[in-house]
Amino acid sequence: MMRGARQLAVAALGCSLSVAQALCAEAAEQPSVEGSGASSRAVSDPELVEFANAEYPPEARAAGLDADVVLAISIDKDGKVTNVEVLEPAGHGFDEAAVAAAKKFVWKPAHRGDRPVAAKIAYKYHFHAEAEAPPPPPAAPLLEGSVHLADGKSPLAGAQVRILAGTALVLELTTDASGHFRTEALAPGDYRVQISADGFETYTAEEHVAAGEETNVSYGVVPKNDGEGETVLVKGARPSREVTRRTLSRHELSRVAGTSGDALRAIQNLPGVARPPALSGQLVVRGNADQTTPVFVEGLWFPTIYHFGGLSSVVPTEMLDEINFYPGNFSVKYGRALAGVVDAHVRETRGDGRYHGLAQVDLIDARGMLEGPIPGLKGWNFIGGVRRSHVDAWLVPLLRTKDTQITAAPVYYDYQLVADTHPTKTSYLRVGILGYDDHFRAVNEAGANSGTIDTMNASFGIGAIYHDTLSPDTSVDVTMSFGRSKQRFVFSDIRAQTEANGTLGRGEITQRITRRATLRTGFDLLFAPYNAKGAIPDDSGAGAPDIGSGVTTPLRVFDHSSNFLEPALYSEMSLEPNARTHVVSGVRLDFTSDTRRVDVAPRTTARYDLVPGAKKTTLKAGSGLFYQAPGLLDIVLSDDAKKLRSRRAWQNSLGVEQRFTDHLTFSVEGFFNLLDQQIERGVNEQGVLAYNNFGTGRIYGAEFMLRYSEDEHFFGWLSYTLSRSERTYQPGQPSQLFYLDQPHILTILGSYVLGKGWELGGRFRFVSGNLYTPCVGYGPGSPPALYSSTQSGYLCLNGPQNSKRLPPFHELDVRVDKRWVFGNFTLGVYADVINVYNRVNPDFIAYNFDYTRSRPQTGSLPIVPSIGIRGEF
Amino acid sequence: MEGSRLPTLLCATACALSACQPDFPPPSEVHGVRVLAVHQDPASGVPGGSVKLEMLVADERAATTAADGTTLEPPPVQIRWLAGCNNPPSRQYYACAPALRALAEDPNIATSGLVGEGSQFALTLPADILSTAPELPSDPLHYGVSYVFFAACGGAISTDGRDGFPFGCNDPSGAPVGPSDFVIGFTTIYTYEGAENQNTNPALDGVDFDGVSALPALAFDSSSATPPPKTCTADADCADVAFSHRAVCSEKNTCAPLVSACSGKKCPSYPVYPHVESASFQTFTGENEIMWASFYTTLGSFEDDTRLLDDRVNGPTRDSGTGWRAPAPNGERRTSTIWVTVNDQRGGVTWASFDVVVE
Repeated sequence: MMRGARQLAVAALGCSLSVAQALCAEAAEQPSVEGSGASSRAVSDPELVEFANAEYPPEARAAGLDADVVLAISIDKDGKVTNVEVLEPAGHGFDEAAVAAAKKFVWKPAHRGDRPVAAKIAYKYHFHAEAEAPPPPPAAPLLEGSVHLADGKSPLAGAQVRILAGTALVLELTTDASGHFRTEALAPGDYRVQISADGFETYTAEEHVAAGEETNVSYGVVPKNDGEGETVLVKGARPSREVTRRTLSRHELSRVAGTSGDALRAIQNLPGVARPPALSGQLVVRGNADQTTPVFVEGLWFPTIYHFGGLSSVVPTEMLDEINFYPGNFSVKYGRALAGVVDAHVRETRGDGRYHGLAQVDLIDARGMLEGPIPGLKGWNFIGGVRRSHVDAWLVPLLRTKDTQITAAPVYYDYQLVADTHPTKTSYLRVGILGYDDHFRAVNEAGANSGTIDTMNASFGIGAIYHDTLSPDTSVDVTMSFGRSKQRFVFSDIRAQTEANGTLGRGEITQRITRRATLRTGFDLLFAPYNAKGAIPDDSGAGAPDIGSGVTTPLRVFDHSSNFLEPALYSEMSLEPNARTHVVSGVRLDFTSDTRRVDVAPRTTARYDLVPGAKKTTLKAGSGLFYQAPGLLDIVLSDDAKKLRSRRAWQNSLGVEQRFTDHLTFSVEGFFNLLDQQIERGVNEQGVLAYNNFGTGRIYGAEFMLRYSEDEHFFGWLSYTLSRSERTYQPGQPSQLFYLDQPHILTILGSYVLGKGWELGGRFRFVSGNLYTPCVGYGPGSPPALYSSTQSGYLCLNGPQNSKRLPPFHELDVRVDKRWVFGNFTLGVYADVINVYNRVNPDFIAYNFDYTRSRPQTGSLPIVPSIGIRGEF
Repeated sequence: MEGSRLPTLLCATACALSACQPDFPPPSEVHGVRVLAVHQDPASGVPGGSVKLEMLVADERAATTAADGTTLEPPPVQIRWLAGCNNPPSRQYYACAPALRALAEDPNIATSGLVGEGSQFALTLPADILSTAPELPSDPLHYGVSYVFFAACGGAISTDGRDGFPFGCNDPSGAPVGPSDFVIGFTTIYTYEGAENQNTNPALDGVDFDGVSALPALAFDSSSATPPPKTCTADADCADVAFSHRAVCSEKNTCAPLVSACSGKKCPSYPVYPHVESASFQTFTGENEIMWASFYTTLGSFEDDTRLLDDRVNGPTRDSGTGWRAPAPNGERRTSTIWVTVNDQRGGVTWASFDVVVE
C-alpha cells in the first residue's frame, strides 16, 4: 500500500484533487458575448469519482524521499482518462508511479451548460513517505469575481476568464449575465487571470488563492481603441499577512475628490490617517509622528513622497497599479517603521504590442507618458513619464503684482522609466528609473523671516525587481536598487545639507511546507554612505519653552560622514490550521551600525472567520514590536550616537470585519500602542541638551470603515477614527497630548458614474481642530512673552503644552469628470473643486509681535477649482 | 525626533512664502512701554570683565485726565536688572528660573552687584565664565553665556514676583498693570574664546530721511560721539538747520523736519535709510555675520518693520532702507519719534533716533 500518497492542490499549475475541479476546457467552441444567455454556457467542473493510490517507489521510500509529480490529465466527455503527461517530473520512480495511478482515476466529466465536454487538467500527485493514509481533502479555495466595463457602466457577460499557471492553461470560465464568474476548482497558489472578449482589450491580473479562503476580484476592461487603459483592479477580502490592509485601486486613487487625482494624497482619507498640518506634507498615522510610516514604491523606500508640502506625490497616479496601506501590525517583511507602511506598486506594462500615450495639464503641473514595446527587444515593454510643475509660470507674475518680498516660486519635476519582461514562463523582471527634484530659492530682505531661503530635495534611483515561481510551492522575490539623494535647506543662517548614496536590497523566498503552512524568509539591507553638514539652532526638544528663531544663538554645527548599514533578517510562518483560521507569526532582526544594536521584533497576527461564506464575519487581532532606528538628525547631532537605541512601539489591535455583499463591507478595529525609547532632548550630565531615549507615550483608539468597493457605478466609504495620542518627553514631566492628536476624524466620500462619460464625486471631512500651546506668561499680571534684546523680538512664555484646541476642520470637495472617446483617442476633463463652501479652517494661532494679541489663522486653501485636461491614445 | 524644530521651520518657511501673516498692528508702531534695544559695551564679554548695559526704552503712554479735570502724566518707567545666571543647564534662558528665584530670595542681593535700577547697568562677568562652559564637538567655537534679566515697568516694580520671574509691575492701586505697560526680558552676553571671535557693536555712518542725512543735525546716534540734535524752544531756533525739509521745533524740543500729515493711499513715503559703517560687516565662524535694521515710530507707519543688512550667504544687501508714511491729519501739529536699531547676530546693537514734526 502506498504510504502517505495523497493529493494536494497544485499551486501554479493545477487542481485540487479533493474536489478535482480545475479544468482546462478543450472545447473548440469559444464563448461569445451574448448578454443574458451567457449564463447557460458556463463550464462546470469535472469531479473525481474514483481515486487510485500509486505504488510508492521502494528505493524512494527507503531513502525517505517525498515528491510532487505534476501531471496533465486529459479527460474525455465520458469522464475517462485518455492521456496522462508528466509536466514536472520528480524522478526516483515517482513519475511512472503517478502516471500509472492517474490513468486509473475515474471522473465525472466537465460540462458546458448541459452538455459534457472534454477537459484537460493539471494535477499534482504528492508522495509523502511518512503519512499513513491520505488526509481528508483540503477545503477548496474559492475564486469569484466580476468583469465589467472600465467606465463602470455595465457588466460584461460572456467574457472569457482564462486561468493560467505560468503559461499553462488551467481553467477557462465564462462570465454570466451579470458579469460574474466563480470557481472552486483551483488549487491554492498563484495564477494569472486573463480576461478577454471580442471588442475589448485583454486584461491580465496576478492572483493568489489559498485553501479555505475566498478571493473576490473585480476586473474592468476597456473597449479596444478606447485608449483609457485604466483597467481597474480591486482586491477582495484576501486574507493578508497583516491584521488590516486597505487597498485602493488606481481608479479610486484618481477619482477621490479634493486630491486632484493624486494617489498618495488619497491615502489621507483612510481610517487612522490624520489630517496633516497645513502645507506640511506629512503622513500622520494613528497618532504617530511624521516619518514613522515609510512609503515603499515597488519595495523601495521613498524618503519623500510629496513635492513641496503635499502639492502632489512624487510618483504620478498613472504609474501606479494599487496602493496597500497598513495602519499598524504589519508583516515582518517591513521594518524601520514605528507606525504603519504604505506600499505602492508600479503597474505592469500592457504588453499588447501597441503604443499608448498620455498628456495632462492642470493648474499645478503638466505631464506626459508613453508606453509600448521596446524596438529590438522582443518581449520587453516600457512605460515612461515625466512631469514638471508650472506654478512658477503664473505665480511669479502674480506675486510681483502683489508687491510681496518673495517673487520666486517653487519648481518640481519627476520622471519615471520602467521596462519589464517575462524572461521565463514563471518569472517576471522589471527594471526602472525613478527620480524627482524640488527646488526653491529666494532672498527675502524684509520682515522677521528675512534672509536667504533655499530648499532643494532631489532623489534618483535605479532599481530592478524579479519574481519567479520556481515551483508550485516555492517562489522568490528579489529587489535591488541604487539611488542618490540630496537635500538642502537654508533659512537665514540655519542650514542643513545631506547627500547619500543608498543601496537597498531585498529578497524573500516563500516556501509552502505543507498544505496549511507556508514559510516566508527574507532579508533586506540598507547601505548608504552619507554626508550631512549644516548649522541649526540647539533643539530644546518637544515641550520646551520658546527659544526663538535661533539666529542669534551660536548654532550647532555638524559635518558628518558615515555609513548607514542596516541589515535585517526576517522569517514568518503562515499557518492555516483550518479553513477559518489564519495565523501569521514571525520575527525580524534589525541591526543598526550607528547604535551597534540588534532589535528583535516578534509579531503575530491572526484572523478567524466567525461566520464563513459570502457574508462572512472575521475576527482579527495582532500584536508585535516595531522599531525605528535613530534618524539622520539624531545621529549627526548626537555627541555619541552609540548611546542611543531605536525607538520602540508595542502595537496591539483587535477588530471585526463584516461582509454584507460582494461590495459592501464594514470593519471596526481597536488599537492600543505603547511607545518607549522615544528619542527626545534633555539636559545631560554635561549640562547641555542632548538626545536620549527617555520619551514614552501611548496611543489608543478605534477605526471604523463602511466601504462600498468599486462596481460599475459607484465606490465610496465612510471612515471614522476615534483616538488619543499622549507623550511624556522626559522622566518626571507630566503626560501631555501629542501635538498631532486628532480625536475625531470623519471622512465620507464617493464617486458615481452618471453615464455618457460623466462621473461625479464628493468628499466631506470633519476633523478635530489642531492643538496649540497658549502663551500665558509667568502667571496673573505677567506679560505673555519675554523680550529678547539679542533677537530684538519676543519669546512666547508657554502655558501647558498642547492644552488648547482650535475649532474643528471641515470641508466639502466636489469633483466632476467628463470623457469623450474619438476612435483611438480619449479626451478627459475634470474639475476638482476644493472647499466648496469656502470654510475658513483655523490651522494655527497667529500672534502679534509681543504675543498680547492672537487670532486663529488658516493655512488651508479657500475655494479653489482645480481644472485639468487629459488626452490619451 | 518627535516635535523637532525642523518641521516647524519648514512650516514657517511655507507660511512665510504663503504670506499668511494676519493683520495685526506691526511691531514698528510704538505704543505704551516698549524696550527697543539693549546695548552692550563691549559687545561680547571677557572672563572677569565688566559689561555696561544700556536700555533703549520708548514710553508712549498717553496722559490721563483725573476726575477734577487735571491732566495726569504717567509715572516714569522703572527699570530693574537682575544678573547672575551664568552657563545654565541647557544654556537656555529658561533654565535660569531656579537661579533667579534663589537670587531674588537672597537677603544680600542688594550688595551683590547683580541687581540694578535705571536704564544703565554694569556687571562683572565671572572669571570662570569660559572655563565652566561646556565644550561640545558640534559647537562652532567655545563660548560661555550669561543672562541678564530686566523689567521695564510703567508703574511700580514689585518684588512679589511671579512664578519663575522675580518682578511684577503694579499700578498705584496695587493691581498689576496691563502688558502694554510692562515689559520683561533678557539680554544675552556671549563670551567667546579667541580674540578673533570678539564682537563689536555696529556703527552708523548716517541715517537718511527722505534722501538726506539727518546726522548730525537732527538725529541722535548711539554709536557716534557727535552731539545730539540741536535743541530748541521755538521754530525760529531751527532756522539755521540745513535740511531738505524745513526744520521746526518739535514737542520734544529738538529741531526736526516738518512734513505734512496725509491720509489715503497716495501719501508720499519718505525713505529712511541707515548707513552702516563698512567695518561693521564682520564675519563670524568664517561666514558673514547676519545684521538687520529694525524701524520704530510713534506716529505714522513703516513699509517694513525690519530690513536685512547683511545676509549670511550673499553678504551686504543692496537695499537696507524702508519708507515712512506720515499719519493722517487731526488738525494739530504732532511729533513722531523714529528709531532705527541695527543688530548683529551676536548681540551687538546700535541705534539712531530723530523726530519728525507732522502738521
